[in-house]
Amino acid sequence: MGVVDLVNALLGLMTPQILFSVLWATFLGIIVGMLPGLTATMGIALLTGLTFQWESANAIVILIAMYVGAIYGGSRSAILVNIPGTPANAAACLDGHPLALQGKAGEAIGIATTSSFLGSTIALFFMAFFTPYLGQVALRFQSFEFFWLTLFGVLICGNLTAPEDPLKGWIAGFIGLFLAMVGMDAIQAFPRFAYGQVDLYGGLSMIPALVGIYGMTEVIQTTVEAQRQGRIVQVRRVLPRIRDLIQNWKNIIRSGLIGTFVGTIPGVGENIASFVAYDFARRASKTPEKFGKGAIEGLAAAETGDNACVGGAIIPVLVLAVPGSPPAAVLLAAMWLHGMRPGPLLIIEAPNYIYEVSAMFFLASLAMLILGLSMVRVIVKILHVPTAILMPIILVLCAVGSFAINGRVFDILVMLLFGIIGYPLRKMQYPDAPLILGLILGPMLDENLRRGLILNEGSLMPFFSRPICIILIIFILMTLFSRSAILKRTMHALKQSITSMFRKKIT
Amino acid sequence: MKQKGMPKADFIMGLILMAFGLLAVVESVKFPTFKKDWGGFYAAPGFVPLILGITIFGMSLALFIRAIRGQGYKIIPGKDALRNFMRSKPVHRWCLAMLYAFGFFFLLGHIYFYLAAFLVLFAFMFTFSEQKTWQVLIISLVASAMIYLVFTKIFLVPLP
Repeated sequence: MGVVDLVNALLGLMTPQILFSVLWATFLGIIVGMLPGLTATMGIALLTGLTFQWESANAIVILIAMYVGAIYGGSRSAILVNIPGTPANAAACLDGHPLALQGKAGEAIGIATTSSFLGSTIALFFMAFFTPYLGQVALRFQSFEFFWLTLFGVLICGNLTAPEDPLKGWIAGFIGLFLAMVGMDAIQAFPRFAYGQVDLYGGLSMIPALVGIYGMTEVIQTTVEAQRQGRIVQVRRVLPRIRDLIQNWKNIIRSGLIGTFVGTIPGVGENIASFVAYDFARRASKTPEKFGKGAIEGLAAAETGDNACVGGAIIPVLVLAVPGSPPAAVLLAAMWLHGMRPGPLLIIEAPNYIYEVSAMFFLASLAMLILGLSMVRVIVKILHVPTAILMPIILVLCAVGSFAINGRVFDILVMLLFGIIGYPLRKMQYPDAPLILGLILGPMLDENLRRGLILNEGSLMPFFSRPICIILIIFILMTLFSRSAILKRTMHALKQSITSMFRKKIT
Repeated sequence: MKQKGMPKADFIMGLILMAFGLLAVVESVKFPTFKKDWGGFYAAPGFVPLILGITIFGMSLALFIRAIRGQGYKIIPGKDALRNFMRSKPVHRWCLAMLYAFGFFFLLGHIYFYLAAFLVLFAFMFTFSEQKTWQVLIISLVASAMIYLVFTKIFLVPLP
């Protein structure tokens, strides 16, 4: 049944206008992803403002194509220049660039392209056929579950994006949650922290804040640190060898599953997915010593993982209105702007929308495969553009993108201020993703906590007694205390006692 | 426990965030409670910001204590360090980037968008790129014209 719905959705998108949009947006995405300093999140945030006036299906397909293209595009610069175009492609540098130095740049690009496509296909399978079932589970979510879910999202995101120092990740997340409190609250419409500024009554606009954190911060960082470009390696044959793909089938499936799973974790994103997939591939490899020296297995795992994560990150956007990655957060904001209502009720109000988004994702992935294998030399030429030329153009685009949604110059100021705050935060190792996730989930946390308390006359019992709440609380505690030595020892002892029950006793 | 990176930066950031958390708490308490119409304090618009303020304060206190343990309180720079900081190229680049970005912002609405865009592009590229002046002039002219035309004619986006 799902297959028929997916095919119908795909046929519905087969209009010249949509196909043309998919092609140009994927192409633009590849360029954005490929240029160091321009990220998928920034690309989607900019395009959201620019396509705001467009018909919603066309606008959303453009954003998804930009997302898919940008996450893939970063592998180009990773392979050719040893600079990951986006943070998601950092793992691709490890084996991609050594392959290029061995004269196999084209081959590496071919493997990265096909692996990315296969990763997307695995994620598509889950997005199209499992999301409706997850939607059924999401229907059981009430205010209590949503409160814990938002809290879990911010904490796990802080934990995973700041692995060296989770405290900074959590602080960033809570600052994001607090900034979301600015403006009129959802229950009594009381203006909070607005100080009489009418522009602040509606809250801090999401897109200018996102453009500021990802776009303006990058402009400042690149300018201040005067980043230079690396030497670009020559490209020859691009089509991958079938033999390489067949030899890697287990690796690709495993990395696709890992990528999709990591994608569904709130706010975590593609950079973690690619490293986790890479790590698993190295552990499973018969020749782990070749990793880091130009192993096709490593490159295939990293690229399958990050592109599968794109699909995985869209799944919670659709069923829970909780983004799986920073670019998915912008996508969620864009869906809201276009009048969509992703969340648990989507499965009742617009069940076909899941298939439509899946079909859009498939078209974008197909465009990525075609463009990725065919326009290599043309696209590589763009890498020659100096960042000092590119960054001021990005600054102007950030201003245009921020202004476009509400037509307020105030939003440009918001964008600039977020850029100014974002740079020192980044330098002090506060991750961007929890801040943005907090900003997006803040209203959900506020509304659901207070609504849950109002409905139960201040009783906290439902927050701690419902089954899904208990599961989420356990997850939160595990996130908070995952590094505690006591917990580690307890878990180890528990594991030992369980395994010892099944072990043969030697007498 | 492993010593975490930058204690000096954490010390300053801990102080700033503690002040921020405290301010958030004080401001949240000032909000009306709507107790009569909505039941209890939990319905007040300041309830969640208050919890968030307390949490931010608590976490920044942990950061602050950790920074003190790492001797992050030794933050007063010597004369040489201050001089080096003032003379460092990244600081100059940051100041100039801010000047151009805010200059662009203040020009918007006062002069035509494409003129403001041209000025900021030219100033930025002239200062930071290694291209010749005539190249910078042509690139900024073409780029500002392209941005104006693409967004007003194709994307139909209103420009500031």
